[in-house]
Amino acid sequence: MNRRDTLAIASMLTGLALASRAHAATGATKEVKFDPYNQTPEQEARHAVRLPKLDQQSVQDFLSSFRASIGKEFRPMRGVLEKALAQQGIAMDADMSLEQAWTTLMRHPMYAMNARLWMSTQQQMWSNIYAVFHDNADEILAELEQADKSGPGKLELNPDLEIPDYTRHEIHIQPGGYVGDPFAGAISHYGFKQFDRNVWINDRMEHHLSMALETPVPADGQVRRILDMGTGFGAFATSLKERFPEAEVWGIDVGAPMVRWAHYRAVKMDLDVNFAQRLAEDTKFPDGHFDVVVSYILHHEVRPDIHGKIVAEAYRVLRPGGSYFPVDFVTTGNPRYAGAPDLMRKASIWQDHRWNTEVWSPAYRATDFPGIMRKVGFVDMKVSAKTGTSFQDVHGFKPV
Amino acid sequence: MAEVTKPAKTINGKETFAADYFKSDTGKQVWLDNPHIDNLVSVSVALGAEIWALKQRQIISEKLAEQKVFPTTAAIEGYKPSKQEEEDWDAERQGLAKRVYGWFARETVATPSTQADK
Repeated sequence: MNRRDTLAIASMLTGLALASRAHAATGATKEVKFDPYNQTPEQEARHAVRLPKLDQQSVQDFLSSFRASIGKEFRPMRGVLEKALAQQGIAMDADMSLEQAWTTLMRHPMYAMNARLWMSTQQQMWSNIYAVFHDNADEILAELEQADKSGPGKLELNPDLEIPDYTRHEIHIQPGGYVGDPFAGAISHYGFKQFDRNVWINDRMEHHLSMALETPVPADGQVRRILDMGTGFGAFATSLKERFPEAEVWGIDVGAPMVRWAHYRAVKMDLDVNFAQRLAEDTKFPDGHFDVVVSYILHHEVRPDIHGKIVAEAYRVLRPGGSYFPVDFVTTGNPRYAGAPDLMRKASIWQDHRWNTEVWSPAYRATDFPGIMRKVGFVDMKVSAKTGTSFQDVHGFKPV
Repeated sequence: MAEVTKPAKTINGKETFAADYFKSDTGKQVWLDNPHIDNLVSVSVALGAEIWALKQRQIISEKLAEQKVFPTTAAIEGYKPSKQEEEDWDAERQGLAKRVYGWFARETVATPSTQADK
């Protein structure tokens, strides 16, 4: 059984379990069943993530497969490094800082080449997508302007929003980051298909649709309003709308170019999802407004002092019994996060932090995130790692 | 690391909604001792992608020809692969990467005339 089959079966079982639970509850909100890994032709057409021209997509496909292939070729590297380090009297579990570990391993030609290849593919992935949109900037901006005024969902931009400095970095070395490029949403949308494809499949939004199916709902099954914090290009929000077509769904993000693309995408999908340029730590929504609040890979991109503020904001805007589902990488406080990282792991964290501009990621991973949720007041917490991925499954409910 | 970049506020009169951001310095880094070597590795990866793009068109053209469809640009661009074909193509790309770039994963040893293991 290959990875795709395993994911498909897991997703199907999750979907069936959720559907039966919802239908059993009295007055439960309508749910639509779907299988992210066996979509109908119409669903495939709606969810397909492909650049406009074959050659453009072929280049991306190559870079993605290249990474998977080269990853396998470099598997013997650990043994080679252990041997080389031992000759210098250095153990793989030596006490070094993240930066020292990276500097030490980069002295070995095999490690340096592996790092170079990873970075070259990352840079080329972004530069190719960047060119697709910037080479046609005038035409695409005109399309965005048209979509800004179209529905069914609303778009709210806030030119007066004070954008926090912590959000202004070129995360993942994406050109312009999430706030500084007019096509940040589009670039992110196509880039996320290619990222780390050993972890997920997202050719047709399979990953986001699966998360929507896995999202826990309140015990009474009532899902009238949903909020996606740090929505990015809006795929989690639109996927939740597909599961709960009668719910009012909002996606918020600090980046105007992000929510513009998210809205454009929802308009093209004819989905009634609202997008607004707002901060996760200050959503401006009333107390108790939402039944479900979610986020996807938001927390590792925010400054450490912001985690608690965002969790508290989620708690504030949830109604009693509401469900909070913040999907992100594994942190301390999770049983799977055990043992000190060795030099290879430390070097990898440093490279990602310093050179892939994951500015806040190491601090996030060192956070007891489940503990923050408990401290804010969430109950019935579930904390686990998602098998085969580097994500953790953490969710909780606001007490009734 | 924190060089502030100010993006264009408009393009041909259309608002961009882009805000100031901190430019990463990753693109300027030299990791393989000599900037030309770093650049050549990137060039080789880019060439591999271009080769695959050509090969992809060739594969689709052959599929169309087998179906007695003339492989025009529109027909090639509009070709809808099956999931099996997508998986087969991924395997081909990975095979290409392994054959051509697997050499980069070669274990080397230091000799008196080289300093492969620094």
